[in-house]
Amino acid sequence: MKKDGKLATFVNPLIRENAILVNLLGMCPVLGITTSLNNALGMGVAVIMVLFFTNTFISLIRKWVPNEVRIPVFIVIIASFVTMVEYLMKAFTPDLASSLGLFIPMITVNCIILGRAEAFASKNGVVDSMLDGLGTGIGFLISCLILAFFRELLGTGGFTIRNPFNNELLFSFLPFAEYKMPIFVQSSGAFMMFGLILGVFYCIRMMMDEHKKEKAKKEAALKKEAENGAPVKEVK
Amino acid sequence: MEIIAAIGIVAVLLTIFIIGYLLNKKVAKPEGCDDDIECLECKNTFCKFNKNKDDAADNKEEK
Amino acid sequence: MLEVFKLLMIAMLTSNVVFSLPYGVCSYLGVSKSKKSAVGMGFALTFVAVLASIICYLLNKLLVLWNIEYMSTLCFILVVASVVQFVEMFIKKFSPSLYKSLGIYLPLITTNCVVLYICKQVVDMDALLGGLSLTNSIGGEFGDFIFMLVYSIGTALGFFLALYIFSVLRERLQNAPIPKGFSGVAVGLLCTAIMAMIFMNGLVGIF
Repeated sequence: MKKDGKLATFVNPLIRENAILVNLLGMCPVLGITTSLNNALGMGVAVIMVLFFTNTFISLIRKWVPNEVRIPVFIVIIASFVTMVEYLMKAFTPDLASSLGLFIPMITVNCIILGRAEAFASKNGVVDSMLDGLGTGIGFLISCLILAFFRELLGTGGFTIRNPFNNELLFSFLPFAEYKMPIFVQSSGAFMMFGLILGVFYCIRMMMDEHKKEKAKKEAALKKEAENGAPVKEVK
Repeated sequence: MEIIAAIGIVAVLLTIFIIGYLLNKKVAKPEGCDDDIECLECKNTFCKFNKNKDDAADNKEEK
Repeated sequence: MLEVFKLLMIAMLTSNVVFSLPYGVCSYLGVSKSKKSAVGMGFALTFVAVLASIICYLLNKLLVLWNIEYMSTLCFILVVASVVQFVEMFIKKFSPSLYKSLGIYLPLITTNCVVLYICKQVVDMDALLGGLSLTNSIGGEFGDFIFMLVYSIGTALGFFLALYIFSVLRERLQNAPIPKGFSGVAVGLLCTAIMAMIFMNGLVGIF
């Protein structure tokens, strides 16, 4: 049962309460960085690192922070970790950091991080908070990758992946380069693609919910039949 | 020297923020403001008017 | 004077925060269910953005003097949060009617991307003006300050404009026959895509 609890803490923010596709939180960077798979991967990894470290740290010091001043303390902790991650990226992956631009400091005001810190990390233990941070971060990364996949495919005609540490070309697959639509690499294409993906996602969720409801109805009807059947049988 | 300046300026700004935050809490809200605005527009749990509380976290706390 | 006017128009229309370099989409989608909330959020954001950008501009000169520019993210966000708290306190004390209309949006501006974006951009006015292909026609420190003020007012008003147009659209969309999966945010984003095309690509030759 304990394992179920831990696994649920990890999987819940990944799928059922995905920060971007379900809760619509923290969308500020998503539209700006999904111009290519490289950028989306870099930003996703940065957010996972920040979430992991802030969740762990906040859950470690949660007993000693007076309740009135917890928001200022959280803001200082998150901003410090974001500055650390920003300068690490500028040092080790300079091209990635310059193409992400001002989106890395914007992680500080991302609703996801403050939301998870206040709703989860300040009330639960260290291991639970670590798992929750990892799960939320990986959910964010997966949604960014989905959006970046479609935008790069339609916008440049294929995929180009570069090594972030020294900017070598690792993999370049451009089958449709002649038919590319550069609007998808700009912001209006971003809004279009995101709206379409959200719409399709909601339709799938609605169909799944209806399927579950019908299943539950059938089971309830069968149960009722069994209850009505049993007394009759006993009389016989 | 720079480290002292850095820590100093963060400490000053943090003190100003905490003073402002506590003073703001003390000042009473003017009458006529509805405190129970039913706002379900976004799931920003950081906002004090948000009614979408995180049920999973609360359940865990009870256990 | 012409350069100042050009900067205002470019910051508001051609290089709109929400449409062309997407920042602030979170609150743009969250606070636009009705016109009233859009107007409240817009005014609150403009007020806080202008005040916070002036303080951050001056604070950055101090940080550069002491060679601790790496603290800028942390210091700016503390400044923005303090400004929000003090503004809320003053409004509560001196104008309760104003608090009724825009008081609930003030805490939301602490975690708003637009305000931090403006603060981060105005620290390097030369690069900013060069990027928009303008020059500091007034010259000197005073010219820098004027251009900085105009830029922050223009950007905040651009966000206000985008938010207001979107709230009007959403009020109309509620009565439209849209398939259930797409209604709500998804169709709003598709409308935003069209608006982004108009603002970015359509108005580009005017200024």
